[in-house]
Amino acid sequence: MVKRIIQATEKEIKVPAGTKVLLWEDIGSFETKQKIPARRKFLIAENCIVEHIVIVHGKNQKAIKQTRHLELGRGSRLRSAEISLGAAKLEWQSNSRLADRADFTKQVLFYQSASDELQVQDNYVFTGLGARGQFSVSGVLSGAARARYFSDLAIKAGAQKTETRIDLKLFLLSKEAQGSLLPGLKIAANDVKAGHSASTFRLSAEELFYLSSRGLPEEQIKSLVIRSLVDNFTGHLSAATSRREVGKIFASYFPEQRQ
Amino acid sequence: MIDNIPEGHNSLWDSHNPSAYMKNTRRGLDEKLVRFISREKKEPTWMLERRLASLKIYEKMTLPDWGPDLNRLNLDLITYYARAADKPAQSWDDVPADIKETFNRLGIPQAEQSVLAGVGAQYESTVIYHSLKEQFKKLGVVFEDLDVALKTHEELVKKYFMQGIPPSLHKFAALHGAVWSGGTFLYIPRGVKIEAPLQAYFRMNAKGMGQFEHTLIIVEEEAQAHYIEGCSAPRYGIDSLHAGCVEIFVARGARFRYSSVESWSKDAYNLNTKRALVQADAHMEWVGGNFGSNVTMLYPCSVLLGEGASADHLGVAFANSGQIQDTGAKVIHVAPNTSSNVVMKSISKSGGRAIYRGLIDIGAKADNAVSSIKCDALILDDRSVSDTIPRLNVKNQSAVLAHEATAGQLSAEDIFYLRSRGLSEAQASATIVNGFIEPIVKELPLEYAVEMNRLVELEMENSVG
Amino acid sequence: MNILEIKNLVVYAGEKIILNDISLTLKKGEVLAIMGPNGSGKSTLANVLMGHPAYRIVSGQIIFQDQDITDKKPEERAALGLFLVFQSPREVAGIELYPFLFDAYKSLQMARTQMTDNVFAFKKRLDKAQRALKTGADWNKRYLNQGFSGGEKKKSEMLQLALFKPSLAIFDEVDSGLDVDALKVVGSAMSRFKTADTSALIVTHYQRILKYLPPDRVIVLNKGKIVAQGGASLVKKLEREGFAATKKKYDK
Repeated sequence: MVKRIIQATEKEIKVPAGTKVLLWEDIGSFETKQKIPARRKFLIAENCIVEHIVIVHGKNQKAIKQTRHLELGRGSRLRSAEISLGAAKLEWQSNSRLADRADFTKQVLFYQSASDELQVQDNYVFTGLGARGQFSVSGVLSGAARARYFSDLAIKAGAQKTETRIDLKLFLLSKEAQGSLLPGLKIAANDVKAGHSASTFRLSAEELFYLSSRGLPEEQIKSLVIRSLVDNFTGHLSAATSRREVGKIFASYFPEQRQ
Repeated sequence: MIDNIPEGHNSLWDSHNPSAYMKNTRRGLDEKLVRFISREKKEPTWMLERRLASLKIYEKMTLPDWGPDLNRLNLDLITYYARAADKPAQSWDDVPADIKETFNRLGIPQAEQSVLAGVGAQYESTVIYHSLKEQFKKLGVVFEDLDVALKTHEELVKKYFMQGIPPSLHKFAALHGAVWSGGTFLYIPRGVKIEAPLQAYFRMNAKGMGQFEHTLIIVEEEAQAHYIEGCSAPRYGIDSLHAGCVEIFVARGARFRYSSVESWSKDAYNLNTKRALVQADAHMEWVGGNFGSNVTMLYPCSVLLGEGASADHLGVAFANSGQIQDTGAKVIHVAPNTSSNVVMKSISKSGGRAIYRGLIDIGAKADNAVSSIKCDALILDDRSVSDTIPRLNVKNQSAVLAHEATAGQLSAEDIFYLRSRGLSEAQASATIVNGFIEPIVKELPLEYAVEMNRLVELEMENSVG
Repeated sequence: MNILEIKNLVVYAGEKIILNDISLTLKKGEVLAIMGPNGSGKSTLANVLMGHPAYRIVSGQIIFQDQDITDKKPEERAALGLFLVFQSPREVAGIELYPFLFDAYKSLQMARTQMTDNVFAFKKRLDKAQRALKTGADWNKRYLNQGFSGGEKKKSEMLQLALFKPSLAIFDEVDSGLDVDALKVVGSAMSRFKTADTSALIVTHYQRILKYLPPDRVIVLNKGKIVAQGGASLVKKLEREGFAATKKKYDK
């Protein structure tokens, strides 16, 4: 796949019909030193095959705020992977519209610690026939982090044969961390399959005891949890180079976790 | 996909002609009316003071900015109180034929039918009621009209009334606090366990149609009971707004189940508030079925205040043509080691809208909370709508919370399978829908379960009227 | 007499033609095997005979017991005495097996304007049928096919077959997914069903099941057309040479 790096200044990214491309998007990375655009639009035409990797570098930014739009054209397939590690204040809204037979798979991983705040609203609108969407979000909160992850998936009247699934998972690793999940589902067509789940996970006292009896201090256990989530995340990326890149970023946040 | 499941009952619940009724009564709400109500009922001063305080809150508050559109509900035009004597003397002959037909199809006994139609002033099963009354007296159980209990058990009522549902909770709670009238008072003393379900229509003078009825239930430590309110027969009534309250106090170690199967007329706004405060090691169960109405907004709420408290919420909502069933469950985990289980099934048909709105709140002190929510929606045709809007707030890292929802339609393969065994298309659909809601129906006493299944069959084929 | 006549049947699924001009007759008391490779249309034929809504009959007729059932609903065909043993029996949540069996039985008897057994007589017949099928003791409380293994689902179909007394049973790949023991139980149920008055269509890929209910005739389908017909000897030939033998004949 051809790799196209999204420039910091780009506000509208067009993918012409029939294209196969890997879109690489760094937001807020130290190298760019540029302002993050308040809005970004992605227009993917028909019959494309797109992989989209978004890395939000929160470490270097006070606040990251962006509203994103996505139009996914007829018969196009989009595999999206979004990872956000330690953004102090992240306000993110995405609005996606899917046409007939569009196929959108998205996985999201976010990690917040200290007094980070995250507020995400992911809106998906299905208007065409036979579109598919699979969205899986995993969030890890530590310190006194706060996260609100809301998603709104709307299947409009006539959008028959749509199949969708949203799965939200929240890991709270500290006493003060707090999270809110709202996987909204609004369906006005009947010949559809739609499902969602939202769950929280914890390490039970027994699990913690087991791990620490093997010599792991609590902090390291926490980063083990995050590490396994990241591994799961990178496992879905097609190119080895992508996996290495994400691995590097993870290592910069969790130096004690060597490859 | 499914051919020709007949329409929702449009003509069935035509409004009764209100002209004669409105002559001697007053519309709109003001302090004069509130005072009038309190005076009529000869209430103690403290109750009047609470009513007036509620009225002030009501006047200040705005309508909720979420949920179904309530703007067509003109609060100024509603009659908030009418003495029994002012209500028209209806006779059984006045009741429309299709209403009678529904009652027959649901197998409601004649005596009950009169009460439901608002015709009978007394329920004919006086004998049953009296013998129960004797039993209750011996056990110390109080099962009475709230108006009466306000006089006979004043201190108890004063201690608990609207402590579970404060008027400031929302505009309709404040409204209720100002104009509430009639309702049930149920008190189960410490350690008393009543096996048989207590039913609302056992009360004398039970009309079951009051707009602002208040149900106050106190279950003392280690006590146990099951209360059933409402019934599956349609409420034929003139009133368009129902803003009742049900507040339940479940003390340490007690177990209580509140069941209701409700079917409202098509112009009704059913905006009742139901809430239970659950203490340590106590268990609360809500089992409900919601059919009919124009708009229903109902989110029974359990507040798990004591350590080890738990709650189950089981519900069915059926939204037919022109109906909005906006229902759900709210569980607030406050204390440690609490658990909750929510199972909600909704069905929308012929353009109906079914909405699940839920809230699970795990507080900072709610260590080791466990919560499981399962919502399933059946959307029967391409005009109907289903929304699932669950909110999960987690402030405690040891919580284990799982919410799962699915939505879809009846499987054509399943319908074909049942038809190949001789069931008609309508029968096959009704069978599958009844199977869909079975986990909730099986928790109801047999006669209610049967009524609920029949209600579903009626809604599915809707040949009444 | 002919219990079933199919005349020049053309069937579409969406825009795709699945059955292309199928004609056959079945005499009362006969057993006809319908064989063919995957995608030949044999299961579709079974489902179309029962009235599956996903398939469109574009032309042709289906005559059952001298009645034109081409446009009849599935439940009407069931009432007339047709029974389809599903390849993948449906799991229906929340419906207990026993009440379902009794309700369906009553429904059919009423449609056939025949007397209905009372609950006790029905239960007796049910118990007898269940014993013969070696079903579990807890079956009646279980939900219709829910959590049933493949073998149990086929037994559930055989149970219904025994209770609803059709005059023509269509077995759609009944042997798929069965181990040797289950096959024996199902096969015996099939031969118990077969009397002088009942008829059977056996749609199958394999020969195994035909041991229990030997066919009088066999037809072979390929790509929606009948490519071979014959008696018991054709069955033996297919056993030896597979479907390739018939394919060649067709391609000629």
